[in-house]
Amino acid sequence: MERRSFIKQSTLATAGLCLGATDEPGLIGHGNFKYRLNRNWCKGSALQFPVNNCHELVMSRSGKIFMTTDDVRNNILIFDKDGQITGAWGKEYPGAHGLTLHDENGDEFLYISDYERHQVIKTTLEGKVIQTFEWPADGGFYRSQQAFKPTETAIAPNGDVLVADGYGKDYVVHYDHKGNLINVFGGPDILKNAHGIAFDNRDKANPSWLVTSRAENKLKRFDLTGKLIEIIHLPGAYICRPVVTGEHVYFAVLISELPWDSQTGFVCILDKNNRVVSAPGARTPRYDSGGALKPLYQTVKAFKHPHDVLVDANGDIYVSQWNSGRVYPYRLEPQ
Amino acid sequence: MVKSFFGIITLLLSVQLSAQGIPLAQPRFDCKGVFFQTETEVGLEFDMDGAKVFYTINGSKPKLYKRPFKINKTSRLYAFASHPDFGRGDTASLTLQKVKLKPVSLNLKTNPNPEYKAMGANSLIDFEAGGNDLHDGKWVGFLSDSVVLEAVFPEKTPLNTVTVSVLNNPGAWVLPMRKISVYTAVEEGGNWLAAGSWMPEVGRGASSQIRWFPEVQVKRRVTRVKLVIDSFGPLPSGHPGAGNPAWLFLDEILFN
Repeated sequence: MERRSFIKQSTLATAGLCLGATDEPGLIGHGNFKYRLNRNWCKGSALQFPVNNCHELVMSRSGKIFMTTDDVRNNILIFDKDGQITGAWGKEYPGAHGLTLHDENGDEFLYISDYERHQVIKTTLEGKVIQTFEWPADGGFYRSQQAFKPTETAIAPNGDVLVADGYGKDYVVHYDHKGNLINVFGGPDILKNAHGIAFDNRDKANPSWLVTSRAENKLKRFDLTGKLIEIIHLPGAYICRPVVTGEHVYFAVLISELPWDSQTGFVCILDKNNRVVSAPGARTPRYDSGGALKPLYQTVKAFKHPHDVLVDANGDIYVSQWNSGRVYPYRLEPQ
Repeated sequence: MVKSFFGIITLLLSVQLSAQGIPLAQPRFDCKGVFFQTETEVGLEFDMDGAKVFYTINGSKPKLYKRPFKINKTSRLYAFASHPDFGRGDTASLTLQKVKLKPVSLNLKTNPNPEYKAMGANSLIDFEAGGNDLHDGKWVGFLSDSVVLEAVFPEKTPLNTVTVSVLNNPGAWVLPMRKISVYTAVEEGGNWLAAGSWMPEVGRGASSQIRWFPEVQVKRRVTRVKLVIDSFGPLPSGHPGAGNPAWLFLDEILFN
């Protein structure tokens, strides 16, 4: 076989295989949040640990990184911080999408949002199923299980579980920790593609829920009763889910313009006032005289369709991607 | 055996990957009047510290972009960004169409799909280009075998060409037409005479360009013009929607 043909075929056959370190000359990001992109952080092999879309990332107390993929050969992959895949489980989550980790009195649990199973499944870190959260049959919001397509969860300090139905009817469904329905808010009149949700406790006196209205390029804030209290408009940012870390909010922007497979994604960071301070892979963030953000757009093709971010204690950002050639997560390394 | 196999892959891919950087995205054209009658103004945007933007007009040498510039004839523009740390980026292109004539009226003989009717025939002669969102009210979408339009002009108007602005987006099941046939009548109530037609140059496959401008030569004096646009038909084999009819989306009919 000719060497060039062999290289091409090997490259095609091993999409997701990331080997060796590559120095990327340019930094991306802005202000105090500039990064070098490491596309080869992961040392895994797609032949052993195949991925399809890489959806979401969380980190356990011990520093393990858990990721959802909708490849049913291994829906959950576990990485160490050096990018080695140290474990995998899950063959029964065809729509494995949202992933939240919650520390429950010292024990850690995962909440997997599966839009094809129309459920949220609570598991141990080893994959043992503890509980499922079902579609809200009461209240007249849903007529069938199939209409409920959850994409994300967030856990309240008291253990209540909020589920964003991002691929269904755009409601946020509030359960207590036992799975009893407490409230349903949001919905198609208020949210357009309620893809993500996070508990925002940066204002200790006024904790709230930050919910993505992705098709509108907005984050919408709801108080704990489900009342809409703030809209953060981020034009050009089709936001996946907010990740509150310290005083900042980080998120993956799937695309900056339609169509949905435009490969125009980037990462975004808000400060405590919810102003964009850095957009790695996008234009310099600027606000006009009226305080409105100038539309964001991709400038560096660091990513195609970033779907989630995970920020560790060092400030490294791990980025998983949807519909991006089955690549493992990249890492942004602060400079 | 497995270890040595992975070892070979490691060596070959690291050689390949080490030569790759991160490309820059395309700069963004800012032009309100893609379709214009006398002149239009074009700006370029690429807000990144240290980057420069270059552009060409109809194959000219690349010029460094400093400020918006005016265009007064049909032109094809290209632009790219460049940065010392990232090299040269992807090339953006924009076609600006000068339109000399506007019909007295344009009538759609074929109903558009109700979801994409925009302002009907008026959307096709309003000098407004459709954007990325097919629901922006500027695209008129059809799901029919053919689309027929009739335009009326002042008596015996000299008409050189008819150009159709059409969308090419195979991923959205939208493909350009198979054929455009143009007929003219020199007077009200007169017989239609075939004036010319257009078919894609390379079989029925779609190129990578997002917007096409198929043009038909007319070179006649006209009072009425009829366009018969044959849709692409069933999506081809290999397409996720193979066998289903392709959509036809138009945003402007240009008469010169």
